[in-house]
Formats: sequence, C-alpha cells, structure tokens
Amino acid sequence: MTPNYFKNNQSSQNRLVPSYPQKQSQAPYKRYASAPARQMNGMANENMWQASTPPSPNTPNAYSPYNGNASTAQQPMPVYSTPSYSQPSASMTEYCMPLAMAWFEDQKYGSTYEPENAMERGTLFPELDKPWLAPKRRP
Amino acid sequence: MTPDQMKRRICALEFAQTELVLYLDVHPMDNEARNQWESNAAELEALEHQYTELTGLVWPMRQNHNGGTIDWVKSPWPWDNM
Repeated sequence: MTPNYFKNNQSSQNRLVPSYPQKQSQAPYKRYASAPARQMNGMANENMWQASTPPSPNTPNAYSPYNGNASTAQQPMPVYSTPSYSQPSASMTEYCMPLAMAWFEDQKYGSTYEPENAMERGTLFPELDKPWLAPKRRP
Repeated sequence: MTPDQMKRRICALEFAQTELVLYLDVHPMDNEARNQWESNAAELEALEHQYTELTGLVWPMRQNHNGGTIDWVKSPWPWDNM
C-alpha cells in the first residue's frame, strides 16, 4: 500500500521540479522531485548526497512533453538533495512508525515554596524539586 | 527590613513570579495561581517603591517614583565602598 503522502497531488503549475508519473514498483525513483513526503518530519537518509536519477522520458506519453524526437528531447535535471532535518527516511515514512512517544502528567497547583526557599531550591513547586542525589565520584 | 533584605526579597519574588508565569502559560484559568501571582505582584510593587525611595532604582531602565531622575549615577560605585 502506498501512503497518501507518496502520491504527488500537486498540480503541475505549482510543481518546482519536473516530475514524472511513478509506480510503486519503481523503487529507485521514489525520492525523485519534491514529493510531499519530503517536507515531512524525518531523518537523514542514506541517499542524501546522491543525485536521484529521474526516469528518462524516452517514451511519449500523456504526461511528458516528449514528442518522439530524441535530439530535441529535454532531459530532466537531476535533483540533488541537501542534508536537512526535513529529509524523511524511507523506512520511517513507509511504515508510519513514530520514533518515540512521550507522556507526562498534568501539573496540579498545590502547595508552593516560599519565594526565598524557591530561589534556593531552583523551583517554586515541591513536586518539581528533584535534586541530583547520586553519590559524588572522586577523580 | 534593611535594604539588603529588601533586595533579596525582591529577587525572590521576581523568581516566584517567573515560575508562576511559566505555570500560568499552561494553566491560564487556575485561579489559585493567578491570585498568588497578583498578591506577589502587589507586594513586589510596594517593595520596589520602598527600596527605590531608600536606595535608588532597582533597575536602571525603570522610572524613579521620586521624579524620574537617573540617580543611580549619584549612588556610590563599588570602589567607593572599599
């Protein structure tokens, strides 16, 4: 199954780089062009520094401006991806697995320290007063 | 209260206010915390007023209650007390 964000639902006018219709079976071309999955949260992927190879438009079809004349055929520009935090890893986006989940309890207003004591302790709230109690290591 | 004690109380109250503001960011409708914030603010203002009349400005950027003069330049510099 293809997740929704792999489907290129941008209109052709908004598209920054030429993209070609891709099937799920064309795995090497999956990261070509600015698919919406690119902008999702993610990690660096292993193909970060490689130019992804776009499919060559050697077959006239409904999506390509190629008219059959090979000498005038416009080759698509290779798209280089730069490392950034907006690069998703294929496996993470493919299976939609969360990296981690955090949970914490809502704080309730109870008794508070006196201001002077709070300044000593570093917090106004006794429930947040968690001093480091591990024994000191000697050098 | 000596000026030093007042200064310490002012620092402590401002710290408490900072903590209360952080709490109120997440619980804006907590009346107990808001009341505490308001009483702290009132005490802080009164203390600052007193302290300003005694020794001068608490913060150089604030206006003096006495009439807006910049009289911290007239107060002793650290080397004057040596």
